Amino acid sequence: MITVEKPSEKSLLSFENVSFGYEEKGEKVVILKDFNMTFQQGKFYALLGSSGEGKSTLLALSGGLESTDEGSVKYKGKDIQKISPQKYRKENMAIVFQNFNLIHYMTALENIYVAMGIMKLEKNEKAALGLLEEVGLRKEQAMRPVLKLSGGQQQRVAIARALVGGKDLILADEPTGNLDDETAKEVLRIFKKMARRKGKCVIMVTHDRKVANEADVQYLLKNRRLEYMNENTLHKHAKE
Amino acid sequence: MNFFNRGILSLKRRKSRNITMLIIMGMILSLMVMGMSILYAAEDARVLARETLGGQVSLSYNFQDAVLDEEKDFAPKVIESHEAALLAEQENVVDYNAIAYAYGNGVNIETIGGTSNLERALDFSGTPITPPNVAVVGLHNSGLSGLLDADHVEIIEGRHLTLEDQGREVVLMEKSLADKNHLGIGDYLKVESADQGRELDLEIVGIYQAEGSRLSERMGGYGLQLSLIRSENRIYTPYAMALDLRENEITVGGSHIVLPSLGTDRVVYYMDAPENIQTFLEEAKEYPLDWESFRLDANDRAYRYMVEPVEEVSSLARKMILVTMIGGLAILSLVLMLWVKERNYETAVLLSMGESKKNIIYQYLSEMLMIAAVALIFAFLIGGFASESLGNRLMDRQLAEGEGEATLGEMLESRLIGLSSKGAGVDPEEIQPIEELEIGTGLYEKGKITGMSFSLMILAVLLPVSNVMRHSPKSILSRGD
Repeated sequence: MITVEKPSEKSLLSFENVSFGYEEKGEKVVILKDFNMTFQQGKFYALLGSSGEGKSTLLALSGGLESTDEGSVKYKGKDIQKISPQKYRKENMAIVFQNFNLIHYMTALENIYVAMGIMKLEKNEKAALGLLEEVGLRKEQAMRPVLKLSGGQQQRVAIARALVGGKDLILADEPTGNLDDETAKEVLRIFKKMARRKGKCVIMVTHDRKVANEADVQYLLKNRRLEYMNENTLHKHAKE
Repeated sequence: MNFFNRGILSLKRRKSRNITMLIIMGMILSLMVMGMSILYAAEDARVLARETLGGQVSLSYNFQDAVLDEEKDFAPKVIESHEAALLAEQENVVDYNAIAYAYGNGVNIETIGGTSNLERALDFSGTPITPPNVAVVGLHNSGLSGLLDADHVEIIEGRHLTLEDQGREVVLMEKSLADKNHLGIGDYLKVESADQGRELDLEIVGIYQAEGSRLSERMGGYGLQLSLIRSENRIYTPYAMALDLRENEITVGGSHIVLPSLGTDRVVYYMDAPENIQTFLEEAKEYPLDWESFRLDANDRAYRYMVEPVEEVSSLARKMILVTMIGGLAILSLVLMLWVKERNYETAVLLSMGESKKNIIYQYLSEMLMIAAVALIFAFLIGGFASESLGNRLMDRQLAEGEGEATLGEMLESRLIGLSSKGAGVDPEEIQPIEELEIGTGLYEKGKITGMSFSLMILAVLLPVSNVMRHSPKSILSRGD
């Protein structure tokens, strides 16, 4: 059993005895077993791990994109499966993907409008441009179709979209994977700002230790075990 | 930005794909519109043919079978009142009437016209007898058209006979006959049966005036010039009274003389609409009537003769629709499957953002229906024009083939149809094969075609979309579609 930080009243997201796996060629492949973990507001978390270690699965479970086999993922103490994953995704969390996942035939601004529409917010150009400006995009860039923007700019649009509606929880799946070092640094800076200044809980999964080092709290996912790391020193924090 | 705005934006920004879809849909829908326009026109032509022949079905003794079947009694079987009422129970029957013919002898009247051939013939036998001098026509309702057996019958005093008069001894009398005998409403007419076996005292409840008589013409055609069949000497009684007076055989000097029948007894059912005749005919067979003896006639031969070319074209149109529907659905499903596959990524992105599956389906449906609406406008323009040209070309071909193949039998058939229709009150001139289709869809048909096309689109979108929706957004995204 893995336990990292006991769920407390302050915790925004918590995993409680979560097990998850999938069938492959008739055999059950276990990704997580009796997994426990909590995430708090105002912190930028990095989950470090190699491919296939289950870090993306962890993120998918956090975002309600997958459901657990056993145990529960709770947002502010409520099981997200019980509050409906769709409602949870709409109202409480946002995901930033490695390949940005923007709607290609729309402009940057229209992508923000889509998020506003889903959240049933009024279409507000000033607010949308404000969000894009916050991540460093100018108005003329906002008016361009997203496929005409650079990778870094597209990721900024994705981050701005995640900020719509002031959601508390932002999940990021290898957000810098397709970016050059400079742009990656800029994106990480935005995440840090969101956690520290705006009190968001940002959970980022990455395979890049350098990227993980930029986070406030780092965890290593290895052999279905979760280990706590600080910036430079690795501490074994979890016991099976 | 709601699902509808997203749909509009997608239509604007993904022009080439949407134009391709528009062309494919336009082609499929044009074919559908063509087929359906021809089919509707054929249906209208069928209804028109039915209307020309009237929305009536008659029940009568099956003489045709009686002639062919040696074991059958040639003497017609009487349709009893309760039997006539049975079929009137059917939903589409708005009214019904029955007609029966009999001879009678007006005891207390002097008829119009001199001594008839028959009277003279009877005189030659040297036996003093009182021959029948009035024709008795029994009816359920004299107010209903097409049954008084004259071109025009007008009640000028009193009232018509109705179903409520059944069982009552009442009569309608012609004005000149009534005047000659100084009779009026409320007076009584004494009538004997031809064999003088029964006598009825009939109260005069209506005086009518008749112009022209198909009965006189018909009997004249057989070489009979009887005074009793003059229209003035005809009396109308309730149906059961005529049956009661019926005795067509008289004995003169020990010899039996069979008087020719004045007409065919029949019951006529009036339908709410000509197109319901077929249903009536099918359901009628379930009723406990002696179907060995009786037959229903909806002028079927004349109807078939009129609509035969239309039926061929209609059958072609039906096949065309079927092929278009199956082919169209297959092609559309395939195209839409590719279209939805292409939208898998967008679907997953929207789902990951918390959009509901319902709204995503609505978005795709609204996009498709907007394309379908434009395609339908083209289809109505192109398909409408093409269907007119194709439909009438097919009709011309059918008519040309029909003319080439016309046999002596068919020519005789058309003569027979003309003759039988004359008896049924239809102008034989009107009984001609339909030569042209009035192709053109009205609002109702357009609505129907639109409904069908939209249903097809909705089905074609829902099938592949709902298949994608079964998966989680993560799995859709990770499949890299």
